[in-house]
Amino acid sequence: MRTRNVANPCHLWLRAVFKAMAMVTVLSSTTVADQQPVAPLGYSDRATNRALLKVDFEAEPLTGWSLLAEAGATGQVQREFSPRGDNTNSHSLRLTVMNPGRRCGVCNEGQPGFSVPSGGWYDLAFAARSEQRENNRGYGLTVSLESEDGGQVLARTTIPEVGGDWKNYTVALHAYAAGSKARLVITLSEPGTIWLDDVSLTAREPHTGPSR
Amino acid sequence: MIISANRLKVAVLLLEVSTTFVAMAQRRFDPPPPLPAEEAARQAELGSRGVRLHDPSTIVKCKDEYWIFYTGRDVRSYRSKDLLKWEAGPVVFSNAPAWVAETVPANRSGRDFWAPDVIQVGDRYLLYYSVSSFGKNTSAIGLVTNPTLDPDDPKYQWTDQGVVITSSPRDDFNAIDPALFQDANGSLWMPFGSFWGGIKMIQLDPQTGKRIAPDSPVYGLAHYDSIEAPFIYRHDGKYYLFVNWGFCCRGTNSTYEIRVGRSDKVTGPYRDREGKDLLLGGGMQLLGTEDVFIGPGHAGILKEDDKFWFGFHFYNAAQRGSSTYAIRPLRWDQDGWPVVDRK
Repeated sequence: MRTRNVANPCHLWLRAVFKAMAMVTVLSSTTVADQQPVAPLGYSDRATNRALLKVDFEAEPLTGWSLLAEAGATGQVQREFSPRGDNTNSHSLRLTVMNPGRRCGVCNEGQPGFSVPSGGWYDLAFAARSEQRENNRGYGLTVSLESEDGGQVLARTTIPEVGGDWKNYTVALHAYAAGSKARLVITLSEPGTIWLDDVSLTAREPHTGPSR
Repeated sequence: MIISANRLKVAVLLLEVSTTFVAMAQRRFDPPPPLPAEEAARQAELGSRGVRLHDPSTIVKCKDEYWIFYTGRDVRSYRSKDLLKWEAGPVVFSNAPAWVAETVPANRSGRDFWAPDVIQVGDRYLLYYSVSSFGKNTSAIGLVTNPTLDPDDPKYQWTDQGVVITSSPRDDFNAIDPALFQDANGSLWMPFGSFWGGIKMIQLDPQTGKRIAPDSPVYGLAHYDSIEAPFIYRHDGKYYLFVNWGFCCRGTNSTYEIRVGRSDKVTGPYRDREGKDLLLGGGMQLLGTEDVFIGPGHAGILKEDDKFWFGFHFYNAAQRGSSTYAIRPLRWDQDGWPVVDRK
């Protein structure tokens, strides 16, 4: 009777192949990470960058975030229980735009004394999702840094497709004007609802301008 | 034979999935319904050439033919002898340029190229094209050159000249939608951009067709909540910047419109008729949705003898929103602002 302790040579080969594949995967992912450092969400990738804002919306009540509605716009901003990923991150900011008017979105007053020099570079990272839409179209989302009273836009950028399941987004902002006590504004250009989470704004040190 | 419940569920799921894909593929490759003759003639009078494309380049002439290039796998083209009847020309690429896979890995096939533009400089044609993926600004604008556009000419050969400019989430622009023009001094400029920080522009070397220096200035020309497809045209000593506002690619729900501003200096500031800077959201409407011509976008101007022609694409409401090419006469009003006539 053949003893069952003798391993089938086929199995040995297969295990060796799978082990090799696993090793290659581990090695290659380490190499890629070294060549292209990617900032983990919410933190700057260089120690010299200044973190201006970092919010996960877990603290209650919601402070510092308010609805921005201009010229006939109507909408709603609230902190909501909407779990995603691990259980520690269970709240997010929900922005609903009913009528976009001239502008409708959410505004964060930021730290007092958040000053923006002309030519300054900023990175905004956030996670977002939207409800399911026809044709799976995302929302056009505009992010801007503005002077305290909103009278002047200091930097602005737009993302054409924000929507679907939770995704991470990163955008760069380049200030073309200077301002003190700047605020962060995020608006939607169409009626709809999005959820935002893990919002972080960092300022790049002046000497680390654009990569090319 | 007893089939386990799990296997049955898997089989049903596979069946559903495959029939959905077949239905989707059918829909994609179904040509839009042909227009009834009367409607086709009416549309033709209003400039529609019945030619289906997206993101047309400026019209370029080679020998006695007109050429346009447009979005599609391998960059596609149309050719015409009279601007009225167009027939499909050859595609530009026969395989993906080597650099695409590494620079824009999210580009599905490495050959999915958007919004090319072409310019003749000296004795060759420079074709710039966009490499990207929807909704992301990890992109690149590439360049290929050819001594001629005529595929029957023995010198016909597209040569890959590599990358002109790239963009990533660290940049405040998206390196797509190139347009090319030469200023009054013969300098070569490339406005480009889509969403993100808006319309930007860099200067190119006319000899190489590439950026004049690796860190040459990136000029900001225009910004809006939804902006792309720039085109600059020099006329009577001024530079006119045409842009698209709104959203493309939604069939009859597309909201594209063409806006314009002008400047005495090629680097701006570009202002609209009311004097509002295009960087601050200014822009005079040149062409919006009208009749069955929904969401006009992607302007190009051709001057022939003393006549100006304005090329653009629109979403045809009479054909399920299929994107179609049109050319209309263009004139300049007494204040020097462009006007697109209906006929």
